[in-house]
Amino acid sequence: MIYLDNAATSFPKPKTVSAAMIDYLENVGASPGRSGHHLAAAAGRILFQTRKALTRLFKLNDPGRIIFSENATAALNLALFGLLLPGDRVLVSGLEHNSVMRPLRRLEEIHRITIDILPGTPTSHYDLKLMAHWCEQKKYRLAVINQGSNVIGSLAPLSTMLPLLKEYNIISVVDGAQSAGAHPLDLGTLDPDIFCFTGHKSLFGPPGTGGLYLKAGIEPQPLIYGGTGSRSETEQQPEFLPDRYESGTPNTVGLAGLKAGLEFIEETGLENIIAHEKILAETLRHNLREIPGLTLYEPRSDDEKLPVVSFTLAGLSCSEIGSRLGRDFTIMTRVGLHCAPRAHQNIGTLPQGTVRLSPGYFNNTEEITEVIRAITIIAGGHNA
Amino acid sequence: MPEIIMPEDIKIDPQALELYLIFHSIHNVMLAEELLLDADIQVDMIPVPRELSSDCGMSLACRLSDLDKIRVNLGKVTFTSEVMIYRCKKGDAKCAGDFQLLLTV
Repeated sequence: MIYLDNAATSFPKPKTVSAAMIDYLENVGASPGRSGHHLAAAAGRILFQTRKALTRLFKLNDPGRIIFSENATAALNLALFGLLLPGDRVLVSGLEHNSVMRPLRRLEEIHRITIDILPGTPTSHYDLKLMAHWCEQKKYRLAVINQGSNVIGSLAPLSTMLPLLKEYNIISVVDGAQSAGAHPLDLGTLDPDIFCFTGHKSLFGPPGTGGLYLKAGIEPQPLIYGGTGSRSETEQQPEFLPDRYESGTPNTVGLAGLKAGLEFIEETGLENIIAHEKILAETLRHNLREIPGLTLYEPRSDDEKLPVVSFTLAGLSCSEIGSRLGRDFTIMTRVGLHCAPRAHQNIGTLPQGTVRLSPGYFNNTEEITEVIRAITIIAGGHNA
Repeated sequence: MPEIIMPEDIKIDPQALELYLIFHSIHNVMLAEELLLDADIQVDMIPVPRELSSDCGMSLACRLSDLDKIRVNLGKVTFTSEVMIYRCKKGDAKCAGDFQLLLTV
């Protein structure tokens, strides 16, 4: 079996991830911040150390500004529903995921917000000149930028886009679901207002983990209210972080796994993980380009890319290709629109979508060779 | 409930942890614990005294003699909520309701 669906969720995880989760369930078990015994303290330390590991990975200073949520979608919902007001105007890139577009469409219905979608140019997915013009003219309250596309692996030029947003006092929300752990991040320097991430992709954590970084001064209204273990005498939600946004018993078992995933990245070296994945993705791209009838969908610029490779084959539907890869070669891929119809509209693959290959750290070159062979066979109309 | 009679020969430890550090958020408790331990300050994580806070979680107990070091070290980081440092005036474990707020960070 060859798993090439790491852009959906990374698999396998490092062995230490499941070991940490089992250790929590068997030896800790308690709820952090709710009780005064040593097991509750141990649970509290798991959350604290996970926040610290994220702070180190993202090159931030204050672990108290890392808020946990169940995934990047929940984090994005907090940012958008928590900040946007009736009549607000929002700018988004043309590669956004439905985790951004669906909350925004709902806000368009209930708050009559206005959504502008930044087009691309022949050489970039982001028309930065037009963006500068719009930022000056249109009085945006907030902008969302998908840092790394889950369809073609392109990376947004944040170092150009974020200062532009700051210049016009536009709140910047970066969707890092695909990029966190797959690309070097220096949020201390980039200085976004909000950065949303998920734990279960390139951070090697289990599903059900994720969160956001909130810059000081950015204060969305919470979406969930309830018990936090703090200020229990009042029925008002606490104002301080992270409690303000973390009501209810947290997913400590999941965060124990995420902590182990982050430690695996630190021990292995993020640069080594990225370099390995890049070799696998470039090997795929280089060889797929040579297959007759295959269209490869690549970022328009030659800048750094994520290990996400999308293609179609003339005369075959994506679902047929994916089905054959799975059935005949036990190669796990994802086909279709990848919850990002806007991105597929951008690259001209609606409504069919693409076949997406997303190698991860635990894939090897032998597997990639086998995948290329399998696609070559399918493209040639041969049986396995 | 029967009254608990303490043995007459029990000694009060002159190094008793008389200071109680109250944080509200468990995140800040963990942050302070790590900070103070790194500075070689004795720290005991204990349930929040009910007399001091309605928080459900943990607080830190420290030695009174370390107060200045504690103040300096807590000032090195940003806490997301206020930190209150109390002294138990009687200096032993039977001082419920007898706390003095020394400072807020």
